[in-house]
Amino acid sequence: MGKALEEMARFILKRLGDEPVAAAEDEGYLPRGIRIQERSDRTGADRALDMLFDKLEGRPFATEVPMQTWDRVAPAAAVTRVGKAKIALVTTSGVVPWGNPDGFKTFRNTFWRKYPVAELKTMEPGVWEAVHGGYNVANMNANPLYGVPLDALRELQQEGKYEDLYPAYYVIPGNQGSPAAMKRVGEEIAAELKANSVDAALLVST
Amino acid sequence: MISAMFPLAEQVGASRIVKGVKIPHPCGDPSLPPEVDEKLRKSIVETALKALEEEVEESTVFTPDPAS
Repeated sequence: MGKALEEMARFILKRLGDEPVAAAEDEGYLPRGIRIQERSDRTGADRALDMLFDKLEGRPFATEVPMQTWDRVAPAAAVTRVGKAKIALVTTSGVVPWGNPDGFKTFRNTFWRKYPVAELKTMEPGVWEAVHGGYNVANMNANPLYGVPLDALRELQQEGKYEDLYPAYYVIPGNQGSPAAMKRVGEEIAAELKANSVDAALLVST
Repeated sequence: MISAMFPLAEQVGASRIVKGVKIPHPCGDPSLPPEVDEKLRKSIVETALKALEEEVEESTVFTPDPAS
């Protein structure tokens, strides 16, 4: 405790004195994920090879660009009676109304939209288009059912395989989505589904 | 989750994964005659509905069987 306070006091005095603050591991504060540009007299290729050799030799090394980490989500409990369930469809395929009215980009999107399908039995070509920079959208444009399988969902509903389909589907083009943005988007969609008593979601991912 | 990239879905820890056909067309196959394609799509979605009823502890892959 005494040693920690001593370190903290030293750091606080440094901050108060407007001295430049070094990296978290040098100063001992908690890293905040902030990257500061700095010049190096060695090229990235040289530094990368050093890192590789350190790794191969089992020496300690530190990455210059930490990867964003993915959460582990515990699987949701099974739905006890799917025949009585309300199902929603969510997709990262980028299928949106023709003309892309909400201006989705082909990559790194940060918001989601939902589009009504309550009155529809199928997804007609020419009414929808796929906005996505990560795959060739020719097949999806010709047949949006590959991303939003509404025909199958309607048939299975008629057959009593589930009870109710949420009246809109949810979409974000998933290409190059950052984990932080996609996590928020997932949480927002999940909150809406819960608020609307949806029992389970089918996620179609391209 | 219906995805043609099921190994990736497993790697990032998706819970119930249904094998899709190909990345650009997970729910069906444009090389098939339309009525066979429709049947395949129905089998994929039905497999996904059945997967919801399965209790899973970790990433589990479900394979649609259009013949059934």
